[in-house]
Parts: sequence; C-alpha cells; structure tokens
Amino acid sequence: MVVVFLLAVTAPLAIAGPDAVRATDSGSVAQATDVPPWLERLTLWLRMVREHSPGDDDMPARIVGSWSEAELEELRTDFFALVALQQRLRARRASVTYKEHHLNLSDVQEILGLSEDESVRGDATRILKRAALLHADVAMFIVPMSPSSIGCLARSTVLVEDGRSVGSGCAGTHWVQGRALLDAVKPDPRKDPMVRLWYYATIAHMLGQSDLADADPQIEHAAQLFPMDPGILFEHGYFHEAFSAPHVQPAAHASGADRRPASVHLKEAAEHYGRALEVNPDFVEARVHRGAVLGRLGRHEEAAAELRRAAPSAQGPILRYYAALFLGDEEQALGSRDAARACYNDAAALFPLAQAPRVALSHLARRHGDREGALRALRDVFTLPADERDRPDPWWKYYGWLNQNSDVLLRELYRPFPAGGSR
Amino acid sequence: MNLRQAAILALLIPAASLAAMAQNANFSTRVEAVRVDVLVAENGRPVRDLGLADFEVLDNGVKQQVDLVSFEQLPLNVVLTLDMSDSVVGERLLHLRSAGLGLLDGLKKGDQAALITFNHMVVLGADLTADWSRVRKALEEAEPTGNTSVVDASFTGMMLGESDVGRALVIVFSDGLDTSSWLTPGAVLDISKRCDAVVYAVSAGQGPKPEFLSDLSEQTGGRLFEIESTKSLSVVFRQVLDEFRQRYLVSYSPSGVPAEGWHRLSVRVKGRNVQVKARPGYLAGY
Repeated sequence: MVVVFLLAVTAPLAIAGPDAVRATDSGSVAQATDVPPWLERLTLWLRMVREHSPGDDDMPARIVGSWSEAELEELRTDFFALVALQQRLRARRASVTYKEHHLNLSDVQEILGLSEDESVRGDATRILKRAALLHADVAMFIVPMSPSSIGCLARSTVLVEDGRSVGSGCAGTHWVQGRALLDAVKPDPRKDPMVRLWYYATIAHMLGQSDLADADPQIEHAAQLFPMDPGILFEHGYFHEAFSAPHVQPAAHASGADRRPASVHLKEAAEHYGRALEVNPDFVEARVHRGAVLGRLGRHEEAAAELRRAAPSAQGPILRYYAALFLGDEEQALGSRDAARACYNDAAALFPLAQAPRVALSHLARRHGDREGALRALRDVFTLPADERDRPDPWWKYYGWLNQNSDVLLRELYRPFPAGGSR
Repeated sequence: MNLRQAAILALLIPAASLAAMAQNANFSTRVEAVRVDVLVAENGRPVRDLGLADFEVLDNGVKQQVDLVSFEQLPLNVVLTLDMSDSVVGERLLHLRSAGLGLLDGLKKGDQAALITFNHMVVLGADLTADWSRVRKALEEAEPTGNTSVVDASFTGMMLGESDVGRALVIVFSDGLDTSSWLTPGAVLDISKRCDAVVYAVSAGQGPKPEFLSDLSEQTGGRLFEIESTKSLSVVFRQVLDEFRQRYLVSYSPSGVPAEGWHRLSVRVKGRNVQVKARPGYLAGY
C-alpha cells in the first residue's frame, strides 16, 4: 500500500502548452466562420454541461478537460457577462455589442439556453449546478489521468510518497471553476443544499485521495459558506490532522508547502472537531478524531474522556477499532495498564489480523517490565500472513479513511442530475 | 584483579545472571544488575586491554562497585532490522542483501542472528538462531513493497534481541521516514532506556533524516551512520559488527541511588586519556 499525498507549494509550475492534449471535435458545434472563438467555446461548454452524465468520465468531461486555465477563465467571464447582459436586454429591449459581437435578447437566450422563467429572473442556477458537477468530474476523473499539466493551476504541488517528495503534482483549475460557478447560485449558495453537498462530497473525495493541495482552498471556501456545518467542520479538522501526520510533515517542511509544526495543525484539528461536536454532539467520528489529536497534544485526560464517550457508540468495525486503539494509548498514558490492555484487546478482536494492537500490547507489556508478555504479543505479529491483503490493518489507512465515504456522498450529489435532464 | 581473573569471572557470572534475567518475566521494580556496553577508544582505535579495576561507573553521580567487565566473551544476538519498503529497490536491494550476508559471514561460533524486515508490516524473516543459513535464506527471499514502519520495527528488533542470553546488537537500516508505525518514537525511546540492546542505525539516501534513528542509537549507546549511497553498506555493516565486538560489557548492582526513575550514567577509564562511549543512562521502574 502506498499513500501519495499531494501538498500545495507556492513556487510556479511550468505548464505545458495548451495544445498538448486537446479534444478535437469542437469544430462540429459552430461551423460558421463568423462565430468568434469565445462564443464557439462558450456554446460548446454549455452543450457539454447539458450532455454530461454526472459521475462519468464521458466525452463532454474529456473535451472540457482539455481546456486550459485561461480558456476556462475566459468562458466563465463570458458566461456571467451574457447572463448579466440578457437581463439588461430584457429591460431595455435593445441590442448590445459584446467583444465586438452584436447580440440581441433572443441571441443571448438561445446561447445560454435559459427558460423564459429563468431568463426573467436572471437565474442561471440550473446551468451553474450542472456545470459545477461537470468540472468536479473533470477534476476527479480526467485531470489525474492526463499526461500533461492541462487542468492544473499555475502553481506547483509536491507529491509525497513514503514520507518523501517524489515529484510535482497537480492542483486542479477545475475546482476553481466549480467554486466560482456555485458562488453565483441563486438565491443564496449558503442556503442551497446542493452546494453544501457539492463541497462536502468533493472534499471527502480529496481527503480520501490524500489530495491536500486541492482540499486546502476547497475547505477554506466551504468554511466561508458553511461555517457551522458539522460535516465541513469535521473535514476541516481532518485536513489539519492529515497535515500533522508524521509522514506528511517532513515533506511539507522540506518542500515549503507548509512549515507549521505538527502541534499547530493538531490544535487546529482539535478546534474544528470541537466545533463540529458543538453543533452535533452525536458526531461520533469527530469525537474519535478529537480524542486522537488531543492525545497527540498530550492532553490525555481530555482525550480519554472524548474516547470513552465515543467508543460505545462508534458505528462500524473500523471506527470502533480506531476508538479502541486510541483509548488504549490514553489509558496507558494515564497509568491504567489493565484498561489499556482491555482496549488493545478490543481492537485486536475487531481485526484479529491487524498488527497495530499487537504491537501496542507488546509495548504495554515491556513498559511494565514484562519481557515475556512483550515477546508473546510480537510472536502473534510474526505469525500473521506475509501478504498484506491477508492481514488488513485499518491503522495503515487512518489518514485517508472517512466513515462518510465520498463515493456514497457523490452518488447522493449526482442523483438529482440525470444525464441530459432538465435540472 | 588482573586481566586473567577478570576474564574468568566474566565467563562465570554473566551466564548465571543473564539466564536469570531472561527467565524473569516480570522484571521487578528494583534493578538487580545494570549492564552497560562500553566502547573505549584511544586515537580512534579500540582499547582492548582493560580490566575490572580500570573502570569507574557513576550512577546518578554516585560511584558504583563494578562487578564484572567482560570483553569478547559473551555471544552476540545480532538482529538485522531491515527496511523493505518500496524505495529499497534495484541496486539498493542488492547492496542491502550483500551487506546483510557479509555481516553473517562475520559472526562467530555461539553468536545468534535474526532477521526482521519491515515496510508497513513487521515481518520476522528468521528468528534468533545459530543456524545462520536460515537468516541468509530469508534475506535472499525478502522483497520490497509498501510504506515504512521503522519505529515499530526497531521496537520489535530490541525485543527480539533481548529475548535470549547474549549481548543484543540491533542493526536498523532504513532509507526513509516512518510513515505507518503505530508506536510513537517517544514510546520506543522510552523502552530503549529500559532495555539492554544496543542499536546501530544506518540511514541511507538524501532528504530529511529520521531523528528517531539518531535518538535511538544515541540512547542505547550505539551509533548512527548516515550514508548517501548504499554502495558502502557492506563496509558499514562490518564496521558495526567489528566495533560492537570491541566493546566491554560492564556490570554493576546499583547502590545508593533511587530504585526508580532516570539514572544518569557516566563510565570512565581511570588514568587514561581515552574516549568512552556508553548509553547515557537507563530508566528503572514504571
């Protein structure tokens, strides 16, 4: 198992030419020679937004995925300009010139494809939402597979593998596009459940992929829109906890991606988990993680209290396993040897082939002078299968595992938006 | 006491006391005997002619009666604890195997060896054995994959090293940073202060170096070798073995000091201008 972390750094990244990878069927949309390129692209984009099947790496996603950051910015500007213009045209019943192109109301309505009602209200929310789904899919499914840096922001990122920088990665421009589009949702993106779910699901995806570079601005933006949402507060905490991880810190420092010490991130994580719990005291996963980070901060009494409260109500074997392991460490730190051993045994019972509880039991025994007990627990490790597929240990996936699976969230996000649907 | 007497005593006493220690599963709070591995060098060369009367040991500043000084008498328990994560591929793997095999060639009758390999998994390749061919075979079969649990593996190496009578030498090789251990460096360093094993660590490659290996080798009285290329690994492994063989085992029963807590150690050689390397102290009690 190899976890690749992606961290953002501030140095500029050399971007390959925009023609390196480009879809080629755009010519089928506007054949007329008098259609300016900006309008040709905008029209094609709107068609791709309509035709894209959310959740698929289909042709519309591939075509839009071949566009550069500058092209995406331009079409976004054009789109918002036309939405604004059609309102002016509706009020004045006149025509306007935009980028040296003469447009009247029916031209603009035809280009945008807004319904009469949407046009009257100047509300492009339907298109904005579908477009945000398209760009998220491009960012998740197309850009990572692309051999070029198309779709990447002009800032460099660092790939971290086995604790070391192993090259540069891509922070996706399509996430920027998605955020900018959803900011224009009416009447208010902060009150729109789809916008909230878009952020919740996409951030979960990023964290699950250990993509901290993209998660950073996504979380910051989500936090501004939904400051009291427990799910997003949890993800914010999780982001900081991931940054504090021993295998991320050295590369983050060495690359300049983030030079803050682990303790700063742990405090941030504890703060965000705590706020999530204030809003939703039944958020057991947040409580388990808060207990874990408080323990790492040396606040063992508080950590144990959180974990003791969380452990009985943790749902699913993996979350229960984490709760038991972390609580074991806290009981040990507080001098409760028997309670610690019971916790580690609970964890071992949940995953009988996991390494971590056995190593923990061994350490506990040796810490108390029991050499034989320490060795006996390690002998259990030595008899585990050699192939990791036969000896799963959820601890190895702690940084990258969320109880609320991103696939489930994404399916929930896509469900109201069937391919070619009116929504 | 002359050198001959000391050597004879060294042969008699540790066999009994060490066996008792190994059998004593529940180590009592009271420290029965303290063993300290000591390297004495003069102008960079090991000094080999020292006896009981030459050593002075201070435990928390209190002078102790040294009971035993042994040199090249006790067999070794050499635990090779080797990184087999993704990054140890190609030439690195060949160098590592070659260095491990070379070290096994340097063992003497009575010595035992074991192999622990680690990525995110800690795997016992070969248990402590005087049949080194089993260790050789395991070493030749080990294949790299996955992340790095150097902290968990180092702990495991120390536990295995002290599991049998003999002087425990744990050689930890890693070319990476810990990415997946359950135990924290602090937790394992705590154990290292309670354990007799001496850890020699070899950290290969460029980039950030793991502080843990530096701290662990320092804490146990061993040494950290930082190498950029694994080409020199065979030389380093043999150097470790040779150096460890040149060490004295000094033993005393602490008196006049508290039974529990941190004991600062100071080992000196009387009347000679030599460099002495030993663990900085030990932890007693819980």
